[in-house]
Amino acid sequence: MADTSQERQAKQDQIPAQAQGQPTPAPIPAPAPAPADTTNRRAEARRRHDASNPLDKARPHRLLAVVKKEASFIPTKEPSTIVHVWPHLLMIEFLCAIVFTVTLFITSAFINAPLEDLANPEKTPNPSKAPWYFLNLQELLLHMDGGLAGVIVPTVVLLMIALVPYFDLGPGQMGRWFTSERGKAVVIFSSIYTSFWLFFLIALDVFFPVKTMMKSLFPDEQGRGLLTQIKIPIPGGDPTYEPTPAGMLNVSITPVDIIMSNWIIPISVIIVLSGLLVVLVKKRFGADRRDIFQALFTGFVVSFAITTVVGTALRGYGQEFDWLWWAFKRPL
Amino acid sequence: MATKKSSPRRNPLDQVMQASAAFGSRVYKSVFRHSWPDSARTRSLATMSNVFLHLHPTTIRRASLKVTYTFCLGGLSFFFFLVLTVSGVLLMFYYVPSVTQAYQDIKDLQTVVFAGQFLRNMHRWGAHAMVIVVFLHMCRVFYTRAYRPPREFNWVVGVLLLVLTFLLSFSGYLLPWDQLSFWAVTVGTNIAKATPFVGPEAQFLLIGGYEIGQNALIRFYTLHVIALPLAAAVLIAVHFWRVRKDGFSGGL
Ligand code: HEM
Repeated sequence: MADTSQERQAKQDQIPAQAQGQPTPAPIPAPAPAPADTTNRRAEARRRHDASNPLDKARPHRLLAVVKKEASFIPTKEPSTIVHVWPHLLMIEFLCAIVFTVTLFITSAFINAPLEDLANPEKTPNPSKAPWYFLNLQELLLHMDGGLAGVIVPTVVLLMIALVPYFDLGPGQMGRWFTSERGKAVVIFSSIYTSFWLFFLIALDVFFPVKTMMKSLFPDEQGRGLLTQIKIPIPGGDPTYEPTPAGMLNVSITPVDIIMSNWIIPISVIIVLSGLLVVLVKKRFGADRRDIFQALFTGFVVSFAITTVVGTALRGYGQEFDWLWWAFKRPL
Repeated sequence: MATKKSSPRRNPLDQVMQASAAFGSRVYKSVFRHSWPDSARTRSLATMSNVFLHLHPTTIRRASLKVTYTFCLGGLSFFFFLVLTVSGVLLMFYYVPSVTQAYQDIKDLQTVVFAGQFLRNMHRWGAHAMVIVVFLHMCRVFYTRAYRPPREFNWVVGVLLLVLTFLLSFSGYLLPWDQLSFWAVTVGTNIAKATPFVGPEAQFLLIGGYEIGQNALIRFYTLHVIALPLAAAVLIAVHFWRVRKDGFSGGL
């Protein structure tokens, strides 16, 4: 232990006073071997120790010394790193609850929940919008098939999210934001990448609608298309269901241009852009598997946020793109 | 008051005070069974012997307390769930899920019922807040990689809770029976109609008919006030249990 006492003092100063355990920390010398008969003195010390510092009441031991890592005596677990839940954690929870109760009370006192006219099935408002947290799906709906946007994409995304822990088994630590500096860089990169492509794609579909392009590429011809709708009768389901004469299944044909614009192009765009993101973060950052998951998850979060905002604020009459829609009064 | 402790004759007021203090401390002990938590023992007892607090461990790593790790988001998700349960139960006293009455009930709530508007606002803004907070909590867990084994299953439970949160909010959206709720749910359930293979059947099952009407209202109401909250409560219990059993990821 080559430390001068000054250095030692400096080190102790870095520790928050609370954690030092004693108002007058004993200088470092290693604990002397305990004398034979200590029963009374120990009990006495314990009593004094309890009264000296509220923190000490939370633990049965005290911090005797802080020693250098390479010193002969290395405390494996720093005593004061363990604290009692009452009051330490409960105080945080309590304060948090108070702050949010007050915030919610104030909000509710001054901002009223919207209530429009009585529901009227005859009078369709323009635009008709789902609640805001589904407007991301409603936005997707404008760019692809309803089943793809409303059911398949969300289901696949949720399944992939649920399965992440079963595939992210590589090395690396837990409990640190973004895992590493590289992880942080990957997340930032993915946010920018996703924002760029989303705005680009939405703008593209607004100014050069893919549906129109496909229609001119694949002019509708009678009977040309693919068998896409197969209905299966479900007990208790649609009572108007009528099987075709051909059999139990009710089938229908979808024209090629619709298959292109509503299925093939959107699916390809999603797969190609996700794949490109993975390749880019691997090349640019040397991303490991955890980083790849972070890149993809960030892609999801940013897409979710942007499509929600676009669907809420920038879609006006007839779901047309409208830069100023958000400026009009729109109930939440 | 002038009577000294040692005095054999005591002021009757003192006697009453002492008796009530003794009674008070007996009542306190009968509830909490330990004195004010200011020693290691009583602090441990405070969490251990309380049915609500024993969701927590008795001690915790100091580093786990760092607010910039969790941002309290899991706790806040639960907080909003509780706020919504309490305000929701109060709203149920006034609301009848009938297409002829529901809208008027909401109007009455806003104009006639004491603090009714405030109650409704709290339920509404609390619901929006819960959706946001639960989503952010998922992001926090993801970016801190807190789903690592053995926490995989709790992450899956979390995903189910996220879905339940969306469904709870969506099913409540219809209840005021105004233009906003009617058409939002029409749009929302039309998405169900687009499900491959079973679309119309799925929509029919959801709204109990071909368009939103009384059947849809009673289905959404039942889901909103009983089925989904119960499911969420059970999953939250499982979620908390697993956080305790698997250990908290912070401050390692
Ligand atoms: C109603 C919804 C939810 C409630 C009330 C809730 C509550 C909590 C609470 C109180 C914790 C303790 C730590 C903390 O506060 O961060 C926690 C941890 C956790 N939550 Fe949630 N949660 C919910 C939804 C979710 C969701 C949507 C996910 C993920 C998809 C999730 C995954 C987890 C995991 C893996 C942990 C353990 C984290 C760790 O050990 O650091 N939870 N949750």
